[in-house]
Amino acid sequence: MTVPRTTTRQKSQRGMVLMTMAICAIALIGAMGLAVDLGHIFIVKNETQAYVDAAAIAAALKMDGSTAGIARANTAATSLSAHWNFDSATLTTPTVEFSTASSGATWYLAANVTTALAPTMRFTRVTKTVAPSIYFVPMVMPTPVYTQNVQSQAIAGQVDFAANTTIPNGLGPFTGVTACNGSVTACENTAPNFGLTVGDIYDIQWPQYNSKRNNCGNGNGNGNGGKAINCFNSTPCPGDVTLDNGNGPDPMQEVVQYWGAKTNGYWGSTSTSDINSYILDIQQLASLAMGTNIDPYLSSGNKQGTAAILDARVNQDGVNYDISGNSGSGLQKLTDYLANTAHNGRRLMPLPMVYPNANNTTTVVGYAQFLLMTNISAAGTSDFYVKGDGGITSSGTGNDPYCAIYAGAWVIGSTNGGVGSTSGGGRVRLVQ
Amino acid sequence: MIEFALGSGILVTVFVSTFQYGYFFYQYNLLVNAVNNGAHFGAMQIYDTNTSTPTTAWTTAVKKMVLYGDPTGGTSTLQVKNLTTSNVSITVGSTGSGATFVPTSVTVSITGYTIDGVTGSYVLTGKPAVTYPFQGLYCPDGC
Repeated sequence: MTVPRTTTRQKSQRGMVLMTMAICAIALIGAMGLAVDLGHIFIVKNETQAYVDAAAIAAALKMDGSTAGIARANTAATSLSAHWNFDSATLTTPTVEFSTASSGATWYLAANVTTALAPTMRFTRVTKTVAPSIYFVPMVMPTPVYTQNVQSQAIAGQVDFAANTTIPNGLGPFTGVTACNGSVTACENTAPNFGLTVGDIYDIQWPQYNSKRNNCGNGNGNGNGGKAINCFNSTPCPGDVTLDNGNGPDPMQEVVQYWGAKTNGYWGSTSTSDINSYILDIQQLASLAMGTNIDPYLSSGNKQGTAAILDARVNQDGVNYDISGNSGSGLQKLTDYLANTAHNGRRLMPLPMVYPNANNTTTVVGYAQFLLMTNISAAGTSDFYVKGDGGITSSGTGNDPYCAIYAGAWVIGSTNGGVGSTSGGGRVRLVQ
Repeated sequence: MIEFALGSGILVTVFVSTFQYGYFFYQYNLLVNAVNNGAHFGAMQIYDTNTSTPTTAWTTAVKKMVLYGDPTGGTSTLQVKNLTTSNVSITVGSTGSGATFVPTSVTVSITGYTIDGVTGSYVLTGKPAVTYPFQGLYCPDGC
């Protein structure tokens, strides 16, 4: 009687272990799936997130308000490559979209951004989906799936400096004079271009002032005193001459009325080594913010020392020439420069935009970039600021101004322009 | 007893290897985050020399960012166990040379770091690596 009972018990024990093992195996494989497959997915997610973050920043750095800029932004993001799946596979060609805001607005592919839309595009969204293999989870799935899509997305945008943001370095020792409607508020409201035209040529340092010249005055020349243009020993740059038409805001009148012989728009010391550090490196005489009165820092400067250093900065650029030559328009020169992939941004100099609105009061109202000029049309050595060229008098000696092409908003680290809004200056940030 | 011996043998192997994979993935994930922090930080810093070899101060700040998540933190907690500055390698991408040199990107990667495990270890060479486009100010002659 004992034999069958023992046999029964032994059979029962063996069966129990096998059955328990079988049931446990499913749970075990599920748990391993969570540990291994999920861990793998998390890593893939992090790797692709780092990639889209970098691609979104690369794209946002190229937006400059034009469709050409949008195309360059698209190229910058899609040509960036990185690796995923433990550095074993390559990530390329993400989806790149553009919008006016980081959320709540329509996202456009580069091809759908029209000329009218381009100046409003300030944010870029980069999306990439990859499908890593999963190994353990499919074993316990009723309908096995062997890959899992992982989507990563990043939004970067050009974020303008707030009104109270202090700029400790990066601005050149010259100023752009805004075309204002008689008040600082009017200037701020016209940002990002402060009444100037992208591609026109403006004074970054004004010509020698002489109040004794015939018909010098701050009127409009129509019986209301002398004309401002007559107060200079040399003609100011063409963009400022165009604005001096008696029909509205006029930088030249502001300069004549409030700067006179005291200053010419240069702010900095007269030491050559200091000027080197202002123009070639990123030092400033003082920190600036919007609303700062820059008047105490303005001085007549050191013209001869400055010219050669400005040319040195031009010659640090991969594109230190204008293919359209001296006769090309400012806008043509700017467009050619930005479109040439060999340019490295050294010819673009950020400057404070100022509004001389009273004696001893010149207010910083924003920031902008100016394209430094050159007098060569192919690779070589430019000496525009030392010698000038046939069309524009702009030289280190004598009474001439320093001219530069207005290039729009300044974005720190961008080798192109920016879109700009309230302050005309900003930096690229990851928004999401 | 035989079933227990067989079963536990399999179970221990499964548990150990699961732990091994999980730990490896955990460490690798921390490293991805660390190099991402470092590269993003480096790309936004002022770059103050006109060669692709950054200055010591710049390199130190970026490496500290990778190690501690803080560019100044020498006494903070390490983000990843046993990670040292010699494991962090930095490459600065650029265009031009000499006077026309301009930095264009910053890549941070991990080299020579060993992830330990119960049954063995794995040495990482050149990975994970993260590249950001340069978006800081540039002063070629130092500042």
